Formats: sequence, C-alpha cells, structure tokens
Amino acid sequence: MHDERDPDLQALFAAADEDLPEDGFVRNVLARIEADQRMRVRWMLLVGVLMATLLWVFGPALQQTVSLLTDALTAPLVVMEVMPVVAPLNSVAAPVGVGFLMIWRLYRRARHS
Amino acid sequence: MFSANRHDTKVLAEQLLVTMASCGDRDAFAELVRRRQSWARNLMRRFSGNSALADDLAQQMFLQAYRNIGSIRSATAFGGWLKRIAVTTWLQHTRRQDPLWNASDMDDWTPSHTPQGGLALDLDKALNALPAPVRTCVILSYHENMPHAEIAEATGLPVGTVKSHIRRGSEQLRTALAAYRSEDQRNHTHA
Repeated sequence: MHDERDPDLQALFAAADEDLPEDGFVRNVLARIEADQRMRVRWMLLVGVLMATLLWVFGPALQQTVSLLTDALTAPLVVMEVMPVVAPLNSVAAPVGVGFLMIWRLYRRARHS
Repeated sequence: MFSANRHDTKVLAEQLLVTMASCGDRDAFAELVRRRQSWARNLMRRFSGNSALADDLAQQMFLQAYRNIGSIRSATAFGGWLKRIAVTTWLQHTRRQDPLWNASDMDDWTPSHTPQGGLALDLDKALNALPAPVRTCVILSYHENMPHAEIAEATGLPVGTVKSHIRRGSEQLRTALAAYRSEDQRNHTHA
C-alpha cells in the first residue's frame, strides 16, 4: 500500500533531527537498569519469605486438604468388582476434568469472539 | 560465557550485539543504547516537545527493551522491535496523562507562531499544538516513515482514523511551518 506523504514536510522532519551527544545518557540508562534489578531482587526475596511463612503456618492444613481432595477425586462413580482398566474414567475426577475442559473452551471462545 | 568489553563492542555489528545482549551481556546492551540514543531521544522530543521528558521516556524505553530483549526472535528485527517499544512507551505515557487521548478536537486549534527558535523547536511547537493522537500519527508517518496500516496496528486506531489524522495534521503543520517551506523554496529557486 502506498501512503502519501508531503515531501516538504518529510524534509523538514529530517532536517529537524539533531545528532544528540551521549552526555551521560547511557550511564543513566544503565543506572536505571541496575536500580530496577535491585528492586526485582528485593521483591523476589519478599515473596519468598512470604511464601515460606504461609507454608509454615498453613502447611499441615494444606497437606490435609490435598489428601482429602485426592481421595474424593479417585472415588469410583459406580462400584465395580471387575474391569479395573476403566477405573480412571469411573472416578469423580473424570466428570470434573471434562467439566473443566468445557469451561476452558467456552472461556476461550468468548475471549476470541 | 564470552563477554566483550566496551572497546570491543564499538566495532561489532548490531546483530551480534543484540544476540550478546539477549544472552545478558550488559556491555553489548550499553553499546546498543549508545548507537540508538540519538534516534530515540529525537523521536521522544517530537512526541513530547520537551527535551527533559523526552530523555526520561527514552530511558524508560531502553529499560523496557533490556527487560524483554531475551524474547526477541531475530536479531535482525531489533530496529522494528525497538520502535514498537518506543511507541508503546509514548502511548502509555499519554494515556496516563490524558485518559481521553482518543478524543481529538482540532476545532479550537490555530497556528500561533512564526519561526523563531530554529526548525527543531518550531516543529516541536507546531506538533505540540496538535491533539495527542493526531501528533502521534503524524510523527509515526513522517519521522518513522511507517505505513498507515502499521500505525493503526501500533496505536490501536482504525486505519481510516489514522489517514484522517495524518491528513489534517499535515495541513496544520503546513500552515504553521509555511515560513520554512517558502524559505526552502527560495533556496531551491536561487540554486
């Protein structure tokens, strides 16, 4: 596609550009990068300490919840003596997984429409 | 890992510098900043019309570039990639300053100055008199030679709006900078 531009204006824009001397600009950029990295390290430390504290406080309760959830999800939907091969499908986890996948697809469709 | 010192980096090709910088070589990144700083600051000066703010925005732009340089797919695309970061930095600044930046109103605009402080200063003044979206489109078209479709993509404006902004902005600039144009024409005639 050809975009029309006024050649005179284009020449004025080109003529207005100056060759700016560096004059500490690069040093300032590097100082900002260092400050940014220091800040990131501080944030990571803070998040780490926070996570460790939360795990220490809520760790046992979390472990118990995960254990209960695992037991609930692996519970069979229909009690069968034989056919252990269908055990992964014959569990609470199967409809939960299918439901999750359907919600995920609906969400993606809604986002892209 | 190989790391080039400042003396070495001055003679290296930009693509190699980009590759080195994306691997975490800060000297290579510093050399890239050194090579592109004049372009970045000139672009931000046109956008903002204020040299202190322009330098601050250009520094923000390079900081963003440093944070994301690891994600650059091809070293040859560095120029275009940096330009997109520059536009995003400017748009973020404009939207922070003026949440209604899309609402352009040029009806109350009148060219109010005659050439007085050099072309760069007068061009910045004339650009500053334009509403932010119009100014952004005009600068991306004339300073960066970006096609309308690319400007539309970068600014999030419809192509038709971009075209109309550029047309109207160009008209206003032609009026405001008429003295420079006639001076230019006189020089051509004498030559």
